[in-house]
Amino acid sequence: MSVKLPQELAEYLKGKKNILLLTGSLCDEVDFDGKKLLNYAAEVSTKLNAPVAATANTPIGLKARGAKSVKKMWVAEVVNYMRYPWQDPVMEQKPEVLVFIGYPPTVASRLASAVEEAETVVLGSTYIEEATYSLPQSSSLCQWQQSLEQLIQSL
Amino acid sequence: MEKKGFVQLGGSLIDLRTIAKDARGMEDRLAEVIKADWAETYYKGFDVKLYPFAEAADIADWDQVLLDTYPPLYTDRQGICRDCSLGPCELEKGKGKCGLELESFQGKLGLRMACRGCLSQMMDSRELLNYAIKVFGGDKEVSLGPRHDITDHAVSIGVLTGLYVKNLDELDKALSYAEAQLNKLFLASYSGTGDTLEFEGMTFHAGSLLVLAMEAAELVKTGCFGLVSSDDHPLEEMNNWPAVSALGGLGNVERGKPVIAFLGDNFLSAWVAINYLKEKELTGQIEICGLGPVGHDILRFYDKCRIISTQVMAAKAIRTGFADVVVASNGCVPVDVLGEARRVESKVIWTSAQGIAGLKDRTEDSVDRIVKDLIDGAEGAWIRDAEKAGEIAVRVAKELKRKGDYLLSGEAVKKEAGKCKEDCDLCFNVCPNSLLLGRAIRKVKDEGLKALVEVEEGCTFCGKCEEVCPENIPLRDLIVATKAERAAKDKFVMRPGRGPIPRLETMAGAFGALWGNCPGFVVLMGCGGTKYQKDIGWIAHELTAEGCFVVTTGCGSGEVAQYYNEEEQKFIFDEFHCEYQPRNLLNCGACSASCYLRDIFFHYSRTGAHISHYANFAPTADLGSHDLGQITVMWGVPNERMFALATAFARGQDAVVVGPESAFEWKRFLLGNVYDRSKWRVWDANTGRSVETEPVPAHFLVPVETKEEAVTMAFNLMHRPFDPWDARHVKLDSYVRFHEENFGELPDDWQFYVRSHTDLPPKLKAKLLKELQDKYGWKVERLIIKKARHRNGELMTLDKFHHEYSTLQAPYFTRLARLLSKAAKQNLAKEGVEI
Repeated sequence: MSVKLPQELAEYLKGKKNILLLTGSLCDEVDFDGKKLLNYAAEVSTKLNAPVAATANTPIGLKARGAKSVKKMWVAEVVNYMRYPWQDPVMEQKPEVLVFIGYPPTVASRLASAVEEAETVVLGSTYIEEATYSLPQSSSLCQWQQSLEQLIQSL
Repeated sequence: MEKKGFVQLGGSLIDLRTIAKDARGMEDRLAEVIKADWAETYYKGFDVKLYPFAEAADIADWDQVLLDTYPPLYTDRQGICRDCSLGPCELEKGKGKCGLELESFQGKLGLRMACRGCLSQMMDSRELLNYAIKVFGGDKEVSLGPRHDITDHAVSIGVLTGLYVKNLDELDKALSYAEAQLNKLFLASYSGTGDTLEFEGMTFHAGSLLVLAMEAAELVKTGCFGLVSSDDHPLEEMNNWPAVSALGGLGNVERGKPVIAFLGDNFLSAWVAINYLKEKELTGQIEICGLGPVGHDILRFYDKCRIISTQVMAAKAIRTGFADVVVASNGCVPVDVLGEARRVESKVIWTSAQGIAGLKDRTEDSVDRIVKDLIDGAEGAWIRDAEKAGEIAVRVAKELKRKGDYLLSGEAVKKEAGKCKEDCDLCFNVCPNSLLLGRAIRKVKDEGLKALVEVEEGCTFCGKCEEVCPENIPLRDLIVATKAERAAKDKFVMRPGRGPIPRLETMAGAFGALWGNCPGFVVLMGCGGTKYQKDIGWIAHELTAEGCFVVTTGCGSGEVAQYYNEEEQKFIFDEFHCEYQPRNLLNCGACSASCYLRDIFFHYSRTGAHISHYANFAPTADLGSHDLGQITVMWGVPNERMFALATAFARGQDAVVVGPESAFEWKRFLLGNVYDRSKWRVWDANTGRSVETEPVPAHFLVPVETKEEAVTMAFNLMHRPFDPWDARHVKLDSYVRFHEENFGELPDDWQFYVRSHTDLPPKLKAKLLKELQDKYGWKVERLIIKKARHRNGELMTLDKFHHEYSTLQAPYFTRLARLLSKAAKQNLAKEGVEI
């Protein structure tokens, strides 16, 4: 629905209790001059102390980067579970915010649009209208990286 | 002699009025299949109800059972309906003026997409059939071959219509039914005001109609045009038939020879052209290539055809300039064939009934005149006459002189790439495959064209990058320029399609799958345009090597064929045999051959339970997949035909795994909730008892993000309630092992599939038993499970467990109460239970 600057987004996230981070396939594929998107995902998880629904092939890499409470999940399943009474697949209570990182823009918008009973945040390189909040539009990978670093510093 | 409308089956005289919805006009046809294909015991034990020429609503009870377990999850809901003059209606604020609700509107949009997905195939089947009737006459017999009999002939047609199709006129009747049904569904997709699940049921029906149309096309192709069929070949040679004789890729197109490329669905002009080549003894002088499904049809009667690309990727292939003449027709996705051909001076011959902008209809002009005009500079011609089009293609290709060098040089690419700015990656943001294109372009100045190789392989050629590039760099020209050096190495080998898989082979296959030989049955389809071109080949390799039956069709078989096993030094079709057996890889043919893959599983209802499929969809689908887990993997860019096909497979109880490029564009998934136990129940068909089962297959239409997810999910979805212990341990073995290898942990649902220690794979037994004991609270002694933990929390003896969970004590079961035995219904009636 709206764009938030990294610092604003950090404040918003710090005010939430049950956050679930979802890490998608781009986490393994995008790197910013040697530093993978997966590293940023792990840092976000650590700073927020949020469990990770590690989708695609991200669980092993996340654990290797020190992320805690990482569980292999399938992204459509997570969104699907949000429709029902929560059954503890990755965290005890139903998350109030789902944070997506590492999903292509189209995939992120589809996923965000389908989430019921929770807010959504997309930490991608583009604005995602269907998400409750997303980072500002980046015109380059470098800008995206800066946004991620500012977010993590502010968490 | 029986009275019309009555059939004597053994000691039973069957009144057709009691078993068929409306048998009028079909009495003789139904009598024929009942006498030849029915078991009297089944008739006596069950309430049989046939639906000849079934409407969507006739199969709705079956569809609703499936959709109750796998309710649709919609993404990117459209909130405003503009389908009629009463609107627009903002459905997010409440019901529309016609009463339609937001969720139903999403179902309606899905139905519309499925209907559109049927259209090109439906039209192609019609054109083919009309041509065949004109040339051969309506009484021309059609058959898939002598090994097909009434039990398995054209199953996807028979299951909906009740017809045992024998000639072109009957095929015409079947296809007319499908066309009329599609009209109704299309109308409903605009003016329908039903509920969500009704629309979803109609979407299933559209898929079934698509498969019917495919089967009609296949019957014409094999019956009238001589496409090879496995039925014509000795069974003992099937493990290596057809031979791996077809060469594919640009590197296998002989330089210097004229090239004709065929694109789209319609193969008639190719058939004419190749016969013309043979007649004039020109086959050695002209290269024939395939872009899209038609290439795979051609291979079944001319194995010198070179498969170059999928339909989706045809534009990129044409832009390389390899073809002198492109003979094109409608296909699953539109291609700007004239625009691409113009850039490289290829001539276009468009053969479909509808024209394309820029080409005049030349159907009535003489062949000589059209040939002359094309040689003299005309860009192309629209010719709605396959016989003319085929001859013109050959003559133009022979006489045309082209410059032959259309790709940008390395220097020109460097110059263009030099315009790319360091701080710009707008192309990354819009690329559907999220390719790091800007970074690759900026590397060109140091690395040359090889910097673009990876993005070339993942580029769908959609052109969105060019639309946002502030420097107006012709990015697609840069990308395709990499082909200059690489085309020569673009080579692979493959088997041509083999056509159908008769019941005889599926029966043998079923026995081959026993004793833990095989985790499951896989249908693999792909449209190309994936981020990693080799993924589909890798998926095929992993699944086949693991012991699955893997069958490919359509453009996907050409994509799979490119997988090269470095260790074995073999292309994939050379690595595996091609019987319908475990650890075999088959290619059935073009997209239309996908009907055989739907038929295979309908064979099992007949083989295992003697259920005749004619006009009998629900029991056929119900039984077919109880224990033989067939799953479908679809890989490639969005394609509405594939969506319709996916729904057809799901309706027949195939779980469908869809790659990221398609799945998220379809905006709808069919997902189960394994945690909701109320959804995982079947009926014991003999007693009427309701039985809780394992949550399998967990989903019916599920997206995945990576090839590793695809294979692991495939192994998961192969589980079925009736899996015997040997099938179960091999499925569990593959699922658990792949999950651990790829994701570093055990899956969290494997324990749901365990009924006793015999289900556990020997290699993992000790480890899994320990998990059951320590994590899930089962009672285990040595390598034996003494007590199982039911999902309700109770620790119970195995005997009680098997009574209360799984189908071990309900060996004949059904998902649909209507299909209970008469005895079971009586039991329930005595207990006052309404079903």
